[in-house]
Amino acid sequence: MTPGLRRLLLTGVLSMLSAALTPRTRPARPRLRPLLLAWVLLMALLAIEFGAAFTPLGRSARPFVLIPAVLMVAVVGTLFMRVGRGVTIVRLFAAAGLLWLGILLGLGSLDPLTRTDYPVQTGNPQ
Amino acid sequence: MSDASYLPHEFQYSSARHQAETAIAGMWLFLATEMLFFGALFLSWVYSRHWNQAGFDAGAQQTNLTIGTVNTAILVASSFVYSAGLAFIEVGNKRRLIQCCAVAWMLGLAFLILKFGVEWHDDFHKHLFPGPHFAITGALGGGARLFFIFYFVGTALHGVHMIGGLVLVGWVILRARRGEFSPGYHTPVAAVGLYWSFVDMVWIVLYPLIYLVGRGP
Repeated sequence: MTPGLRRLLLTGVLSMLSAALTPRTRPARPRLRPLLLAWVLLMALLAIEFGAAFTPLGRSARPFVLIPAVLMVAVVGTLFMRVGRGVTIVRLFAAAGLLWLGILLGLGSLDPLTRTDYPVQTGNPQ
Repeated sequence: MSDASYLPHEFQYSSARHQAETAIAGMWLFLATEMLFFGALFLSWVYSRHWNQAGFDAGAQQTNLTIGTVNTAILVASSFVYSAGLAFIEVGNKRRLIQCCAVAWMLGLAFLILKFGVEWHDDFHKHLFPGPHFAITGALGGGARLFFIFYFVGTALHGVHMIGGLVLVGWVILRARRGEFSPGYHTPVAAVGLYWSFVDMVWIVLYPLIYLVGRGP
């Protein structure tokens, strides 16, 4: 075997070995499973909410139909908007928004939800 | 969000990652103010319904539940598809980003057509706009008028936000077509996604307030 042929064979074997030992690079896959799960969850909650609207509840108890909507908002916030994966300031802004919204709705609702209505006397007392 | 510190950035930031995090935080701060903006609308619902329950619910029963429910499913799907587009650009798939944004944009447009082209049109036709020829009269008329004021103001405000969202998603599509986004830089895609999902969230709350709470067996 001539030195040139030997070198050629050696190079071929080495390159084959190198190709075999190098891990194959596959194109990275997007993380779609959590998003798909979120969508299924949202559609299920929408169905529950839709069904709950036809349950026999009293007028004052009907706002409980909003519970699935609150859960849907939580799903969108965590899985689509990824609030938990944001930096600290992002979570702080989201929490502050919720806090002030709570104060706005809480204090604002205090009067209609706690006021006692006394009947107004009508007609001539004499 | 960008995670490549070697990318160019503005002088006031220490790195491209710092710049991207600041942009996302800025969008969240804007969304916090939007929460309070829509919070006042939701509070008006609490007040109006509490003092006029029978009339308010009589108004709610006149709304088109089918269109409302279909529109909710459309917006949820739109938000899901846009988030999938963001996941695709994070791994460098620009073609899928453009496709997802285009589908999200079309779903958003379908929502607007159903809401304003079909539902509002029917509402005006049935004299449900609180004006001089309002359809519901008698003891329930006052509460029903309050409901439809809430309905038209709420859906119009949400619709304006939707139109803004469509402009932004269209802008993302144009920039993506020019090849401006990569796994290292896609902050505008993420920021617009936050806004788009927030608009979806607002509708998720408006849907039961308008269509479901006032309905019953």
